[in-house]
Amino acid sequence: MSAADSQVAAAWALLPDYLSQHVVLSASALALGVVISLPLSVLAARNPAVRWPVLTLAGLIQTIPGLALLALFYPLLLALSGFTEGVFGVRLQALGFLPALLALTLYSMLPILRNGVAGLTGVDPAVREAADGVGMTARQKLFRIEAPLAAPVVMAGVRTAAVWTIGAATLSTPVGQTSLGNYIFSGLQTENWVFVLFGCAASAGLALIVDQLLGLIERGAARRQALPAIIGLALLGVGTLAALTPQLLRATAPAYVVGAKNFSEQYILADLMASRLQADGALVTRRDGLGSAIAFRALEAGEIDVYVDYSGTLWTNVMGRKDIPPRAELMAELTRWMAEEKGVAVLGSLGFENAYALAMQRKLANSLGVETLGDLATQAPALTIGGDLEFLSRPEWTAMEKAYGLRFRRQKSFNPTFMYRALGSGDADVISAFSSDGRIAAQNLVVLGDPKGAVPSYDAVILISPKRAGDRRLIEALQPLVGAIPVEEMRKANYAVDRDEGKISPAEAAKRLAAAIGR
Amino acid sequence: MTSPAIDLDHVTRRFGGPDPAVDAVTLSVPKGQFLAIVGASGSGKTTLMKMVNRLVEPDEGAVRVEGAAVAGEDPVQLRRRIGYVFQGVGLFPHMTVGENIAITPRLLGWSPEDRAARVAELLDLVSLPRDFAGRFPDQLSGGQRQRVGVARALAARPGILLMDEPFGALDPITREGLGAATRALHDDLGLTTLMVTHDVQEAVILADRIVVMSRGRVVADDTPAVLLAGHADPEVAALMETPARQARTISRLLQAAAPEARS
Repeated sequence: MSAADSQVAAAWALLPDYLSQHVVLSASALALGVVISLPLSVLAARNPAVRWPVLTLAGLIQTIPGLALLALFYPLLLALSGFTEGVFGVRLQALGFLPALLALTLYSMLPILRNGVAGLTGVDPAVREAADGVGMTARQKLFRIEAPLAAPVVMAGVRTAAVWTIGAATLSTPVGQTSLGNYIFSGLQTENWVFVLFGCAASAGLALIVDQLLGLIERGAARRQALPAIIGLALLGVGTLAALTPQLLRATAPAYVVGAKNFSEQYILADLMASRLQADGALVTRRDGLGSAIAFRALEAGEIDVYVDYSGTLWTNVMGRKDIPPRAELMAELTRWMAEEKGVAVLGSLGFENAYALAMQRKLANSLGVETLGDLATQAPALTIGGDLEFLSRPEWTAMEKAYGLRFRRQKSFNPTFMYRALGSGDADVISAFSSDGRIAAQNLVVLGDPKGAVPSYDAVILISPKRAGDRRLIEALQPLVGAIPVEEMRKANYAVDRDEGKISPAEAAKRLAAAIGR
Repeated sequence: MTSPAIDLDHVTRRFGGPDPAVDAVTLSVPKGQFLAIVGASGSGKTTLMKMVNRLVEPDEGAVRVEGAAVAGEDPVQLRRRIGYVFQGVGLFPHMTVGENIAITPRLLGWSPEDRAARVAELLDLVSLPRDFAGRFPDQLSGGQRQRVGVARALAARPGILLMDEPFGALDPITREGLGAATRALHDDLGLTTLMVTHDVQEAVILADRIVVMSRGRVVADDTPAVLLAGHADPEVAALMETPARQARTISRLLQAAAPEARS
């Protein structure tokens, strides 16, 4: 089987889960959008003083990029969750379904509102007067005359909203809601174009089918024929129910939620942990592609049960420490602090470091005589540095800059995959690299030394949420991974996913890694 | 003495302009009368008629229908017992002819059998084939649509029929035929009919009594014969003279054409 074939097979295997979650999410958001927007459009159609602010606000929401709107709901819900917990004793879920649902609902409202108002105000005034004249109450006029006459226009709005919602639902992956976007986001990260295309095709196909079914209902409404409307409604209902079934089945059994940040190593390690749990007979759900800062907070809140983070990242970003103790000391202090302050269990280091480091092409480093960050400082004013999307705003970078007095000619941010390409194309001379990255060896790069110890150590550690900190089954399933992964094996696995030719899926890489380390 | 079917007592209505649309009008319509209100556009005739079934509320004055003040009655119930034929027909485009005709009986909770029987009866009454019940309004001609409009107004057996420029958009032949049919229905069913029109000829032919309105006031109120004979108000006299003037013009043309036709 060729690499592409195995990727397609891997994509198909994920489809039932991704598609059903995508359908349930978009259907809920659309239903909620319709339920909110229809009464609102009646109000807006009746009252010009309501119409303007409602339509303007809905239009304004539409101008917010979808990804940002979804991301904004995370802190919002987190703050709200603190409030509701204090007042009602109920915790809101800040990650996953709820923020995605709310953002998509807002997103779906504009076309429904706009067409609702247009449909209702477009009813012939003579017909409306006739409704009054034959003795209809306001309610009878709305439901017997205005609503059926506006229905085709309203349905056209619902159709537009459905297509938008299904498309925008792919953006809910970064807030921890599984969707068809998981293909696209993980595909982008690992440069797996088969996955990206698969995700696009699946969501476009879904949008097309739903659009056609809603079109049937629209046609039924316009021609006053019940049959097409009933067929459309029935098929939509059956599809949604079919998507809901696996969700409901899953909801009845408690599952471990394994999280992953948004790069290959994280996907591989999450797959590795998930398959160990599944081998033990446990149910597992995944939250993939989480932002670095979101991941820890999600763990703290119990929205994910386990994920892998890096000691130095936690040390600076979560603990807010500026000092840099030796590796063993840092680990010990981190473990103690996590248990005492957050109730989070640090199960242990996997056995390798994934440090933030600066890397250059060996040829350039040799010609400039650069071996360490100290050497780099003298050459930096003539060079361009490329960082991944978060590196240049991270405290590690500030620490390096300060300790060595690094001043570059230019700074650029890249998606991690494109960052390595930038070195080859000359768009960047120095990049922020991860020490476990397989491309360091493969592309013949040098990692520059840090003699002053400006950056802490970055042992990959398994973190377990406070809720699961004493969960024997989880701990026993994952304990064997502690100290079991040498950095060479991790690099090999990462490279297998990241390379351009003959790449494999993270799940496949996790399988090979497990075999290589005998776990 | 029985109370009049419709009694308007010093009713005034302002729409924000400097002059009231209807200015202290008093008008009493006895049971069984066919009254036409004529006047130019903006004279207040439609506004006056809409006060009868509370589609417009008077700012001042009182409206009584069959002896009871309408202000104290639920407007929805009131409208269900007064037939209304709308300017521009106003049939519900998403309902069949049958459903349109049966709408008020349905709102009143009649059984489906009673409604179906009534629809058939009314289609006969307005001289439309019974199988029209299943058609939609857009499959009908303008004259057929207005016949349905009249049938709808009469469906719940009202004692009072209000008509707002009912035949305005129809061709002359259809218009004449439908006018005569409506008058016949008025007589057969013992209705009290109030018709707003700007067509004096139509008013003269159909009505028992004509009220002329100008700038919100009643400027003349009498039988067609008396008004045709002349009036002190030159505006009224000019208006009422139109049908006679047209008739004279036509007869002159006919006489001029006659010798040629003979030769």
